[in-house]
Amino acid sequence: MPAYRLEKDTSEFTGINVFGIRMRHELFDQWLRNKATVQEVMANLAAANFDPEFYASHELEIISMFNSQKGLNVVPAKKVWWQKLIKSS
Amino acid sequence: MKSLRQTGLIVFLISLSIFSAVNFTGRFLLTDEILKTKLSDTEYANLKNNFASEVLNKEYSSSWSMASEIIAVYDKKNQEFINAKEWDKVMYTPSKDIAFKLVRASANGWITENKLLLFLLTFGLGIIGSLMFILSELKIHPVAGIKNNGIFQNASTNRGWIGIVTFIFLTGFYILLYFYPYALINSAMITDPVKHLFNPNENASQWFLYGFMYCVVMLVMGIKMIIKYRHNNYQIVRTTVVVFFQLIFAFLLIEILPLFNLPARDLKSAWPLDYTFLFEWNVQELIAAGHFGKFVFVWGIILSLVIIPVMVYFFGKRWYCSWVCGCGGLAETLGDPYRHLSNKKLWAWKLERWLVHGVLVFAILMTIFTGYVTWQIIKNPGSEITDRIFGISVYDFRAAYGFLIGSIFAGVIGTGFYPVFGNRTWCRFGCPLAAYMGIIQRFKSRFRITTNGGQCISCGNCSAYCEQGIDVRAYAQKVRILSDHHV
Repeated sequence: MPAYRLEKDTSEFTGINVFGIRMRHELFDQWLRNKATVQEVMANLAAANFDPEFYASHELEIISMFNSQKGLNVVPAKKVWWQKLIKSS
Repeated sequence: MKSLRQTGLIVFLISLSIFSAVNFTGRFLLTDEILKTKLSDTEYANLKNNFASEVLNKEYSSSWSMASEIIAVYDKKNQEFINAKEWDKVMYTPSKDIAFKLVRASANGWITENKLLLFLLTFGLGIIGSLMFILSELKIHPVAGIKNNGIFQNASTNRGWIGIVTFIFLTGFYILLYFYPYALINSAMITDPVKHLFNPNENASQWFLYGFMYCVVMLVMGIKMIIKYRHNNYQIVRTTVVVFFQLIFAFLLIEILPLFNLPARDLKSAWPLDYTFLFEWNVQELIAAGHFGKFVFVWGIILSLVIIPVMVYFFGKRWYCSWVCGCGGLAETLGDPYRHLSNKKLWAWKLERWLVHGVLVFAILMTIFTGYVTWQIIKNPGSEITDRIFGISVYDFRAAYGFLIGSIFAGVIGTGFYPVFGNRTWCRFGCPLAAYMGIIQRFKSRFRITTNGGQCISCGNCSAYCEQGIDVRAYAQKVRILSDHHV
């Protein structure tokens, strides 16, 4: 369960503890610069995963834990298989 | 556990010694009966008198000594025909093949009577010893993760004396296999019990021995690889798949297809790595082999011209080099302990590009030339054909490629030099298919090896252990993707 800092009023994303999952620096850089909301980061967590192929992914668990703790309803952004194939994340 | 590991090593070395030593013993007796059944009618008529006076009914104590005399007789007789300009009598079967089949059939004595026992003492003991050595690692280093401790202090992995001995052994094995196969007749006979599982009426050739050894080595060293990288799901899946391709496509299918009168072809071997694809005997055999033969021919073209580029576009050339290819499979299993020995210097990379693209050009020229000759033969069978261009015979051109690239570069240097140059020597410097895929990947591929922003701490592990000799760190420090070829 990544720790995150949720600014009470703005929901602005300010940092994340990734717990051993390698994350894309580029994407987080973009999120931080654009003052993305925590909900947006959570929904797109899978796109930020930099682990090698065939590694176990934990994004769904993280998001459902986040939802249950915060009483929110973040839906993970889904990609169909052909989008995974032709669009880089 | 340390003692189990050492015992395993000793057991393995004993099996390897038996495997090598059997070739210095044996009893070989050539009879007229063998000559009659093994030689063609013309060969028999040409050679029987000479064999009768020199080799026949004489007992030899090693395959090498008998083969040398057979070759001497054969070459002398052929030279006589050439001198007398009796071109219709000159024999074109390579002398090493004549020697191999005659000596193979002449073998008798304790080795022929104890093949199964010897199989268990060599392959059986070898596998058990290796597994003791490999599996004890799980107890010695119980925590998953890469441990390269002391790899540059170990004589087997730092080009020390063990490495040099391994290098001489491997290189010697490849030289014998390609150029003096009759020296390995007893080793080949040991694999007869396995060959007979497929076809009780056929004995193991040197290529069966090689193919079987290849599979055993990849399986056993694949287990070592999986244990070493058990923290990494990518490597576990990859190693399993590449071993699977070797076992099924390069070994089992090759043995099983002929049982149904189908041509034995490795369906994953793609031109230009498979440089014999347009040779007239290959095309003729495939055309003659009905629907399956034609399928194999069309499949070969589709594989090289459609599947490979498309797959490289999506996944990079690794999909072939480390997931499918037999050469890569051996390099990533048997060769994995030597991965850090690959040269990362800038001059090695410059040499690599000259060599690998040079081989690709060589392969393409040879294929166009031989394809033209094959096309003439298929189109107008029996008529006069042009097999010379600029005074060079297509057969000499092919033979030069087969000798320099197919045997010396891919086999002797590619595998024999693992303990000296690292495990991807052939793949980096010589493989024309890698060159072809490299060009596609360079200009048209979604796949790039990338660094992750500022994650690099310049530890140098990536460069040190890159088996392909890429100076990964140099790119990482500049935060560049690895196709920007400007270090």
